[in-house]
Order: sequence, then C-alpha cells, then structure tokens
Amino acid sequence: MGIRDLGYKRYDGKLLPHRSRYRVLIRRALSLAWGSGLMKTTLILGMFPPVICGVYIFLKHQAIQYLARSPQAPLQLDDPGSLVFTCIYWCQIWFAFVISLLAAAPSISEDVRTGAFQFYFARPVSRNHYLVGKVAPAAILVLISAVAPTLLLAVLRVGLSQTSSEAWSSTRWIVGTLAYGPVYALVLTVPPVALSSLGRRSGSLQGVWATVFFVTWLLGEGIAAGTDLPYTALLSIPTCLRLVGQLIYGLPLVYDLPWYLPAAVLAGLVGLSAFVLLRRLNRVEVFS
Amino acid sequence: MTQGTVSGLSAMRQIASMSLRRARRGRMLWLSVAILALMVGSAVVSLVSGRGGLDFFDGMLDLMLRYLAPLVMLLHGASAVSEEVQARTITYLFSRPIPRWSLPMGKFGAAVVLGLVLLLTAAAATYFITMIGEPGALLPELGSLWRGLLAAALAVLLFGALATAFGTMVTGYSFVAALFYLLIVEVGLALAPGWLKVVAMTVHLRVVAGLYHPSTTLYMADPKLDPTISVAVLLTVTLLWLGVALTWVSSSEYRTDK
Amino acid sequence: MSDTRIVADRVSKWYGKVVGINDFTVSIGPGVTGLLGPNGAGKSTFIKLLVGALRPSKGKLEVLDQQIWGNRRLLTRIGYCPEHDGIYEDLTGREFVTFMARLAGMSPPEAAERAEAVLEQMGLGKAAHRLLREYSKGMRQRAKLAQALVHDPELLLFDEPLTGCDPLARAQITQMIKTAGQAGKIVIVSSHILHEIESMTSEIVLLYKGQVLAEGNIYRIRDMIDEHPHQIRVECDRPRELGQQLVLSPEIRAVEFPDEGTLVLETHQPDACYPLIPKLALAAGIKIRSLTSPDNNLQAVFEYLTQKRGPQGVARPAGLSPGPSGGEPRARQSAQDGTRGRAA
Repeated sequence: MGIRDLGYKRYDGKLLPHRSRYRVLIRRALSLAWGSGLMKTTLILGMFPPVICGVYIFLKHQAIQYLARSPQAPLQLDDPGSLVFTCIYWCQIWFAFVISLLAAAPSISEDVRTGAFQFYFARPVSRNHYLVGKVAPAAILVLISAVAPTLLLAVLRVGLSQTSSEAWSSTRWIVGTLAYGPVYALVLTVPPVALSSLGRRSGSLQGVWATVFFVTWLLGEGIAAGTDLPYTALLSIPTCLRLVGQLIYGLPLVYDLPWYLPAAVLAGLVGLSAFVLLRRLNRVEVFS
Repeated sequence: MTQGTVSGLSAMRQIASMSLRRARRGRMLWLSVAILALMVGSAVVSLVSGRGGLDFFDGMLDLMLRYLAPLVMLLHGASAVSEEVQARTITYLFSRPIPRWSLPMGKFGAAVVLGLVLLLTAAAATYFITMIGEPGALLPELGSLWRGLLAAALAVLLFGALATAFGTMVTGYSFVAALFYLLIVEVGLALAPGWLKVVAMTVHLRVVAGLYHPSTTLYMADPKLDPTISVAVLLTVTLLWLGVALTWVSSSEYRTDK
Repeated sequence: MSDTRIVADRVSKWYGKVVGINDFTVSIGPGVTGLLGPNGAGKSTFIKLLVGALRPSKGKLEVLDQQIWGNRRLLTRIGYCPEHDGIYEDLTGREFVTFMARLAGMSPPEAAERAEAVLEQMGLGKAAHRLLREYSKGMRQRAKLAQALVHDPELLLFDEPLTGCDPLARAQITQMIKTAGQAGKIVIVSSHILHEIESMTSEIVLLYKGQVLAEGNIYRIRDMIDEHPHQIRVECDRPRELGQQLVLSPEIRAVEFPDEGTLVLETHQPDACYPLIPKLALAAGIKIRSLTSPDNNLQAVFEYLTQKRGPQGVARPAGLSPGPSGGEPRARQSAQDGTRGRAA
C-alpha cells in the first residue's frame, strides 16, 4: 500500500527562497519572546523613562526660551538634547540589559538543552540562518526598547527648535542615535549570544552575563575613581559603551582617554564573541 | 525493608552536601571566585598606585555590600528550586520521605556556606592588602574590618534568602526576576531621598558596616539609622524571605512535563 | 477486594482548562499492573498523583491505605521511576543512587552498600564511578530504575521504564518487574507500547483521553466485550473447504477469506470453536498451518474499546507471534489454558 493511500498528501505548493528562513526564524523568536510576561513587563516599563525625559526636555527647552528673553543675564543651561544620551545610556540601558538577559543569554543554551539542533539542521537551515535568527531578535528588541524611544526624543528635540539653525544643529541627536543604536544593540546582544553557545544551563549563563556586565562596570569604574588610572575603566563594557556614545554624540568624554580605545575594546568584544559563536556553531554535532 | 522518615535537618544536610559537591564540579563557583579575585586584585592595584588605606577598603566594602554580595548570592541561590524543576530532578527529591522545606533550606545552606567563605575571605584579604600601605592603622582600624565582616555575613544570609525565595517561586528565569527586584528595590530605592531608602536592605547593611552617612537636602533629610536596629531588620527580612520560600514550596505542585 | 492497596475513587485532575484525568475509579492490588493508553491518556498524571507529586482536583485517592498528598512517611514505601530523562548529570551513578538511598532514610554505610548492590543488579557496577552525563540513554534509564529500587519499597511506580533500552536491558528489566510482582510488591508500569505490557502482565488498566476504559485481566476484558465477536484466524491449504464446513456450525457468526490460504472466523463462543476447527480439519484431511486469535490481545481490546477499526471493518490483527525458534508460527493458547494472570 502506497504512503499516499494512508492519507499522506503530496506537497504541491511553492517553496520559498532560502533567504526566507531568516524571516521565519526571527519572527518565531520574537513571538516566543513576546509570550514571556517578564519581557512584556520590561518593554512596557521601559516606555516610562523616555516619557519622563521627553517632558524634561520640553520643560528645559521652555526654561531656556524664557531665560533667553529675560532682561537679566541669562542662566547658562546646556542643550536639552543632551538628555537624549542620558536617556539611552542611563535609563534605557537597564531595560536593554534585562532584554539581553531574557532574549540573548538563553537563546542557544535552550536549544542545546532541549536538543533542538537536530530539528533546525535537519531542515534546509544553514548555520548562518541560525546565527542571525538568534542575534537579530534580541537586537530588534533592544532597538525597540532603547533606541526607538530615544530616537523619538531626538525628533522631539528637533521639533522644539525655534529657528532653522537650531533645528539643523539639533539633528545631531537624531544622527547620533541612528549611529549609536546599532553599536548599542550589537554590544548588548552578540556577547550574551556567544556566551549562550558555551553551555546548556540558561540560568547559569544569564548569571555569567550579568556578572560580566555588572562586575566589570563596578570594578572598572571603582578602580578608575579610586586610583586615578582611567585605563582601568576600559575593563567595563558599559563604560566603553558610554565613552563611544559620548564620542558619537559629540559630548565630552568622561575619562581622559584616546577616543579610539573604547571603540577598539567594544569592536574587539563583539568580534571575539562573533568568532566564538561561529566556531561553536561550526563544531556542533547535530545528532549527538 | 522500610526505613523511618528522614528528619528535615538530615535531609537539608544531604541536599546541602550534594549541592556543594555539584557546585565544586560546576563553573559558577569559579565565576564567583573570579569576581572576588577582581576585588582583591583591585586592592593590589590600589596599593601599588599608592591609593590604598581605609578609604579604599571602605569603598570596596561598599561596592561589595551593594552589588557583589547580591550578585554572588544570586548566582548560587537563585536556581534553588528552579534548576531542579527545569532539569526535572525535583521528581526524585519529592518522591522521597523528606519534608519539602528541606529542599530550599538545603540549597540556602549550601549557598550561605559558599557565600560566607568567598565574601568574608575577599573582604578580609582586601582589608589586609589595602592596609599594608598604612601598617600603623592596621590594628586600630580592625573594628572596621569586624563591622565589615558582620555586614558581609548578614548580606550573605539576606541575599541568600532572597535568591532562594525567588528560586522557589519563579521556576523559569528566576535569576532575571531576582535581578529585576534588586535593580528596582535595592539599587533604585537606595538612591531615593528620605525614608524611602530604608526599604532597601543595602542601606541597612551599610549602616552595620559603618558606611552610611545620611545627607540632608532642602527637600528631604535621610533618616538616622541605628546599627542594632538595622541588624534586627536584616535578620527579620531574611526570615521573611525564607518563610516565603518554605510556604511556597510546601504547597506547590511543580510540573515537569511543561 | 481484601488485598487492594491503591484505591482511586472518582479522581480527577485538571491543569487550568486541560483535563489530565477525569473521574478515575480504579483499584489495584499486589502484583504487576499495566497502565496502558496512548500518549495523553493520563498515565503519567495518574502515576504522579500516586507518588504525591500532584494533588487531585477532585475525588479520593488512597495509596497503601493512606492519603498520599503531603504524607511523606508513605514515600518511604514508594519507589518511583519517572518517564522524563532528567537526571543529575554532574553526579556519578554511585553518588546519585547513594544520595537517593540516604534521602530514603538509610544510614551512610547501608546506603552505600545497597547502592552498590542495586547498581550491580542493573548492570551498572562497572560504570558506577562515571558521571551520569557520560551514560548512554539506556544506562541512564537503568540508573533511574536503580534509585527507585534501592530502598526496597512496597510500591513501585514505573513510568515508561523500557524507554531507550536495548533488547538485553529490556529483557532484564521486564524480568525484574515480573519478579518484583511475584514477590508481592505492587508494581504499576505505564506504557503506550502494548507488547511491552503484555510481556509483563495480564492485569491492566486501559486509559483513553483521561478516563478508564477497562480494568482487570485482559482476557476477561476481552470476554466481556460481547458486542464484538472474537476472531479466529486459520491458515490452511484449503480454507474455502474448511470454511464451508464451519459456516454450518451455530457457533460461527461469520467467515471471511482475506487472502489466499487464510480463513478468518467470527464467533461469540471461542471456547467451543477452538476444538471444533481442528476436528473438522482432521476429518476433511485439511492441513492447518496456524491457528491464532488476532484479537485476543491488547491491541484488539484497545481498538475495540476506542472504536478504531481497520479498512476491512474488522480490528487489525497484531500479527502472528513467532515460535520460540523464530520459525513456523505456533498457535496461541486459549485463554482457558492457564495462561491468564492472577484472578481479578
């Protein structure tokens, strides 16, 4: 008796091109992430700081306008647009970090634990598809949580401009956010995904990522402050992210360091993580 | 052949012993050692750069009480029950004649043992290294060390209990949930002005360690806190978290077929 | 029943909107009882209720004459081997079983000794010092069984115990289960593989979609399914001639010829038919190659009860069982010939 007689229908439909796998994997990961209550809470709570910053930008801009018209010597206030960087770095980084913990750090370890590789790689899914399917969703969520609201703040700043020259000079906040956003997203997603490929216990790997992120931050900045050795601040991933952000936005660097050093550290981190990730994926034995 | 029931303390001891054995074979222990080695390493750097002394020790102790102690205890304790549920090994434990509370208590015990060894050693090492630059002050300032060690021990108990409670209540992503709580309450509220900050236990830990300096601003004055009361608060909150963990585990069904 | 030790009285368990088991009423005594049903039938749910891992949503459940939920003393007398493959990968086999023995209340020297003995019994003596993560699937399964047996419990609950085991291990475990049942222990084995259960016991509880379909000796259950006539399959050299003679007998309800050389009879009186067939064949000089009852087994019982029929409108036969030499099939014994399990 043929297999068709048992109800197994032939597939006569179209097969989508190979590149559609990226979309399939990314959409699947995003819908899984959205199913998590903690993720939804993080994304929703992450909307509040930009709103508060937006109100503050508006009020500060109004204050500047008022003081400019004042007959007395105007009080010098810095550009309210600097709150754009304050928002993305000091406020949104916490939410972006939690997202990286939830979406990036367990992304591959869960597949290792559940034996999902054999399902992925018994399909026409390449390791590149898989890699992008793991990094991209986390990066997208970080962009949604941290970069998109910041971009809106930057647009708000431009929108509040009274003159065309003010508007033109304020576009740097938009350009800065567009340039900083991908760096921010890559730094917060590629290293934890690489860590995720090193084990099968998601909880432990989340702990490792949290430790790497926070401890280097605390100790790097703590040692730099306590010993006047600014180079020790380069140990810290968030500090390097801060310095690169200040560079991109044209703000003064908080540490007296050559501009290329924090950028090199972050590039090295992302590069090393990508190398580890690719190496692990190339060595994975699907049916082990 | 049947045996009598296993006493809670005996079961707790068994579970703690097994957890310590597994921790020795795992990588998390080395991560904690690395974290605290960094702290001790920074003491060496400070000594070499001529910036050692009591001020640096106070700064490191402050860092430890606010961030490192919670993080280390979370690493070892937040997966208390959640790890057993995810790995489905909880079925073996709960099919034995042991009281359910012995599982989180055993895990708590193991985490506390590890935490005390690591953190107290790191704190003491940091002190002695930084004070090499001020040998005359080493003995007179030992009081700072004892207070620091007491605060570190209380931090181990408190955050161990908190991690155990989260590990019992949240079986998926318990570490992240506990970290979320710490960021909002312990980090966030500790920076709040006025009486709001007493909700953050890290403030009480700093009071015990003698690192709390209340400030007065135009808007709100920080409360003056007594170390004895802070110790009582810390112990009470520790017991509360443990109570939450034990109550939760005693009445929950942990499904391993999800 | 005087030796009934597990009584479930209208027990239900649901998880939110999903019903695990519904209105379960069953009594189980000493010996081996098979818990049989497809995936999702409620086997694992019932076993977890028996071990106190889940609390019944409704109904009354007594295990060894006591309530099980929250009764840790009772767990001293229960050994449970779960279905899942979760295990302490960073412990050695010896450490794992010894730890479980200690948690069952044994002293350290007793626990060590018993752990060695049971690991040896399960064929893991040489591998006991290795980490469990290095074990093969079959070895892990045996380690799980070892931890269930180490404290010599009265009640053994095995959820899919043969999963991942090689044929040698299967034979060994099956024999161990039968021996435990013969020793008076209550052994409950769940499986969705019919021939596994058949090889261990004839006392079964049939589950389907969270409910008990039938309970008791499989042959008695089969007998009780009055509306479904028994089938007897005869392979011979002249089936049509034999069929002509049989169709005249009042015991025969229907005769079919599914293929060349085969005759399938339907009857409500199998006990009367079995001696009749060889008698008629002998008288007519017809050579019978085999005489079997395709539906006198769990597959057919199960299919009848769940009303799944094959394309010919009759229950699909499970197939002939090969003879001991693996050569010519032999006739399966009638249910009255002492191959039944213990009395229900």
